[in-house]
Amino acid sequence: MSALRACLRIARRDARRAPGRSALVLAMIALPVIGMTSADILFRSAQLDPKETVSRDLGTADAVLTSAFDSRQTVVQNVDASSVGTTSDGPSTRPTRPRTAAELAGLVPDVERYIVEHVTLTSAITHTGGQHEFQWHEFPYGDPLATGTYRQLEGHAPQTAGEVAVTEALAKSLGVRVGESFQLTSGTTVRVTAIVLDPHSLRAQTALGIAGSAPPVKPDARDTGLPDRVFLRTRTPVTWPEVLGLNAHGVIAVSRQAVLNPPPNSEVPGYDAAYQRSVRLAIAGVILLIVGLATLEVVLLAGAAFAVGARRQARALALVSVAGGEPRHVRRIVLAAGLLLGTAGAALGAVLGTVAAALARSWFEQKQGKLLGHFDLRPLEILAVLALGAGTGLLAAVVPARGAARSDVVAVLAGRAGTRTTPLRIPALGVVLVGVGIFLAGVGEAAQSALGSAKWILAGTALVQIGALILTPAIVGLSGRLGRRLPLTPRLAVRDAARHRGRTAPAVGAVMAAVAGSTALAVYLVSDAAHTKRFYLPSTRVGTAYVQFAERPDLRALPELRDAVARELPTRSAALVGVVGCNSAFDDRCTDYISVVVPSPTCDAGSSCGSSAIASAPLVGDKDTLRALIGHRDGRLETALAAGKAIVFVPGGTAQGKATIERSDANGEGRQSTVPAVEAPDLPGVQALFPTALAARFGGSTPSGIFIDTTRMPSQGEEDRARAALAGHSAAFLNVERGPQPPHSGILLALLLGTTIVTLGAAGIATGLAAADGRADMATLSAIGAAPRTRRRLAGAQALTVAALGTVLGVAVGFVPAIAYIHRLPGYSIQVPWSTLLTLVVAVPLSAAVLAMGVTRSRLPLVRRAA
Amino acid sequence: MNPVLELRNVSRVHGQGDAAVHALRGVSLTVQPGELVAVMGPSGSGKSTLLTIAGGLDAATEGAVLVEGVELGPLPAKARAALRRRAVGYVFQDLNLVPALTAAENVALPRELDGVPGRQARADALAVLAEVDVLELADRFPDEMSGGQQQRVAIARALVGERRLVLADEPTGALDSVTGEAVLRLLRSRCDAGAAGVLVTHEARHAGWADRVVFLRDGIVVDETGPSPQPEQLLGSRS
Ligand SMILES: Nc1ncnc2c1ncn2[C@@H]1O[C@H](COP(=O)(O)OP(=O)(O)O)[C@@H](O)[C@H]1O
Ligand SMILES: [Mg+2]
Repeated sequence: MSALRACLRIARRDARRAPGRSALVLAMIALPVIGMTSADILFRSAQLDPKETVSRDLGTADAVLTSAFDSRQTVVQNVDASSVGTTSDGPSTRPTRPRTAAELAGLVPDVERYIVEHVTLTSAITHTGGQHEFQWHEFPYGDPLATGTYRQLEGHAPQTAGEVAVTEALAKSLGVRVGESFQLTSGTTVRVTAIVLDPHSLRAQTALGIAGSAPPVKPDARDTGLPDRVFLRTRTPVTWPEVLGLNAHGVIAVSRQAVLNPPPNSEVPGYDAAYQRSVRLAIAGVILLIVGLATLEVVLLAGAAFAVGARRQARALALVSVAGGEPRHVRRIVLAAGLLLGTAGAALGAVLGTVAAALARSWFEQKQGKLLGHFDLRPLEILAVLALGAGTGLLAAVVPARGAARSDVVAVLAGRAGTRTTPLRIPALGVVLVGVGIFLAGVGEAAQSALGSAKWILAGTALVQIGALILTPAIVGLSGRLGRRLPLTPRLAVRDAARHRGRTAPAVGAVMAAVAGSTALAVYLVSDAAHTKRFYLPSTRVGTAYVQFAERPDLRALPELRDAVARELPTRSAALVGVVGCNSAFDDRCTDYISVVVPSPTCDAGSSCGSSAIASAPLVGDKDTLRALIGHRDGRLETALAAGKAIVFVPGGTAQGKATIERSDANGEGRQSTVPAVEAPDLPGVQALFPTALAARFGGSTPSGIFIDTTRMPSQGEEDRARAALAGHSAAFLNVERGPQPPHSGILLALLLGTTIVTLGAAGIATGLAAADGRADMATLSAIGAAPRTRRRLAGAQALTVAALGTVLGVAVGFVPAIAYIHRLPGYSIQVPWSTLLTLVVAVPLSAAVLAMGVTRSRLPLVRRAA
Repeated sequence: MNPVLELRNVSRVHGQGDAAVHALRGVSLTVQPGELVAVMGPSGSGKSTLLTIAGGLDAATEGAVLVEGVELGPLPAKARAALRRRAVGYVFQDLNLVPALTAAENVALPRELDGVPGRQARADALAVLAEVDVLELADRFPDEMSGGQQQRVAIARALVGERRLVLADEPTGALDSVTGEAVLRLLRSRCDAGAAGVLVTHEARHAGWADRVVFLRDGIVVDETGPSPQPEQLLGSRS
């Protein structure tokens, strides 16, 4: 007992005597604990407890009912209706429309009173003159039944049909404040009386008015088709069996009583225990992976720091042996340092993490777009995180402690320690693990189910990682042999790293683990982006824009509309287009489908393959239309068009100057006919262009839209202004084809940043360790006349060695899961994220070297040589 | 009287074959209680090796080492560590003290490692510190003491508890001559009080404090003098 106390005392005082190193370890342990603690608190706070759920969803109502879209269906829902499905085996005597509010209220006995939330879609003019679409809820949020749903931030609830409350997001979009008015697209003016907050969606663009306040559906609004929500006050609580009864009537019901006292899972239809378990398992797996990787990083990095500590302490530890300390005492001193710093770091992290969670609350709410529940700190979970942090410190000290306990006391006392080199051998276990890991990843690649394959690939990756970690010392040792031809400083560095594998290996391992993870993800991200790009189907030529009419336009206003839109965009040419026959976009009786028959399509990936994204039939137009569609003048095609021939944009769509056109009716019965045609190069989104004369054979032409060819990609501002120019024609929609969007550069950057920090940290620690070890060597160097610069250069070379070895190994290891995973995704090919990898393998190690040189004192130390 | 330390025909060979280094060859030495023996010899002659073997830090390749009548050879490492806690104390040239511990804690360390309760260990430590006249240093850290003070504390630690064998490897090597003399005087007085000491030294003058001087060269005892050797004789024997 007193021996243990003596060990702890030495550890404690030593930690205090090396404040820099202790702070470093403390920070390394505290950082992940901060992350885990704040993540846990935020996650728990985001999970609403039943009381919070009830207040937000029901206000003070006893139940909220919503009709299914088709009231013949039977609803399958969970208790809080966060997951809703329908089965369509209900009696067919019921109406196919949703039930009305009154019908819903009539289904529940004992209703005292109820309020209704009705939603329409409307649009208004913003303060900048643009047009903005948002939801208009007719809902008396000031009613006692609604208390808890919408929160009023300022002002008073609307009283008349001309008054409205808006969410903050909508107020910002429209540019209005309480007391100010805005104009609906039709010109009607409404006054804002309050700003409200929707706890479910902070970004919601919502206006709240009294019942009957919503603008008439045309021209200001569109019916959303969303069924009404009915908030009920009942004399007796609505029970879960009653909810099930309502479900059978095609009604979604949330009952206060059922949410607050949930029924057993066995009474919830459609509750899939196996599915729930697999979801929980998957989440646990991801958490385990992240926590495991973070712990591994900290163990390796802090382990290297403890190794420095133990090495600096070597004489003191030898003196403990001289005074009669057994190896276990020495081990305990080093372990105690780990436990001490681990506990302190974890405690610090838990406190800071809690503070961080409190500070990050509103940021997190904005990010999530939802209000969090109460600050939910679970002591047991925080305690578990604390224990993990403390355990990480202890674990990091295990290897250095064993090394210290085994060290040769006499050699240390004589100042001869550390010059022994253990013979290089390649651990068979590491080779076996890497082999088995690659094999398992291969098994995963071949596995049928996605989940099964992910499991194998993950397991394989973990084995490859562990195997590579075990192999690291040997690889570091081998690299020493390769360094023979290098100039003096790098040769010294490489040789030094190889001789002191005990401290080099954990640093290299830490870099490797971080780089492997980033590499795998980066490879996946760029491969995914390449896949998206390759299989992206543009709706029209990329960069162009088109307006689609959703209702029959006024023919006389069309040229003016075309010019109004064209003015706002970087237009090269703009043309009106029609569609052969009727236009199904706004004509309900139009059920015919006219298309070009392609006997043997020769489409490759990325070609539109004759899809017709713009219209349900070939387009109709003149040479101006043709020019806007293809982007330039083409004499051959214009001549053909003038000669009454169809221009077919589908490869293989013509044969001997003719194209086959199929016209199928609602029953799918088709009639084929041939038309004279010429073939033009593939054009995304368009099958064919008919001249008016030819269209007459198929029932003439109906206006379809406006096609705008541009000189460059329109900016977002231009797009918004063009959309505003369409205001008043709310049934005309503007589309700008922007092409495939670039990959998630944010994630790539974050990965690179995290990995860079780990690499610089590891290289720095290893270099510090080498400097601590190499004082005698440096003294010798200076004695034989080395310039003071040498010490700096050596530090730089040492950092470079660790960082470069780690990143190169990491990239190699990271490719295993990436290849295994991507290979089995259909249509994917492996893409190499060159810029990320080059940064990791070249730029990061060089920065590590420069950094190490920068912080190293160039003065050479004078060291007492042992007698 | 039983000898405190007895070396019988001890040899220590480092390495094997052509690379073998014979640090000690058949050295025999007996130290009685109350006796201070000086070991002299040129650098590399095996003086330090002799001390590390005597305290069980290193093991002899041949011969027997007995401390307080117990033979070290067959003892497991644990038992040899226990022996260092209870029977043998070391004093090196410098950096003898654990920097993280105060003087009293340094002296109490062998006792605490031996499981003696903290309070008792401290009392023992203060008692020895008083005996070596540095009680006022008890709560200072090593870097707050002079070299001579550190050596005094080291000697106190070597003698704490029931220990009565001090193995001192050039304990004055890092001190000026006046301080060095004082440290040797202290060592002499502890031996007069009943301890046994082995003192490795370069300087003939220091050997004057010893009851006996043993000369080593290339690991072999080349000469042994009785009490009060003649300085010029000592000088002549150095090469
Ligand atoms: N671990 C070792 N390996 C090889 N040779 C050693 C080792 N330790 C000591 N020696 C050699 O043993 C001889 C005696 O060393 P030492 O006892 O330190 O001499 P002294 O203290 O008299 O200067 C020297 O030649 C030294 O080089
Ligand atoms: Mg020596």
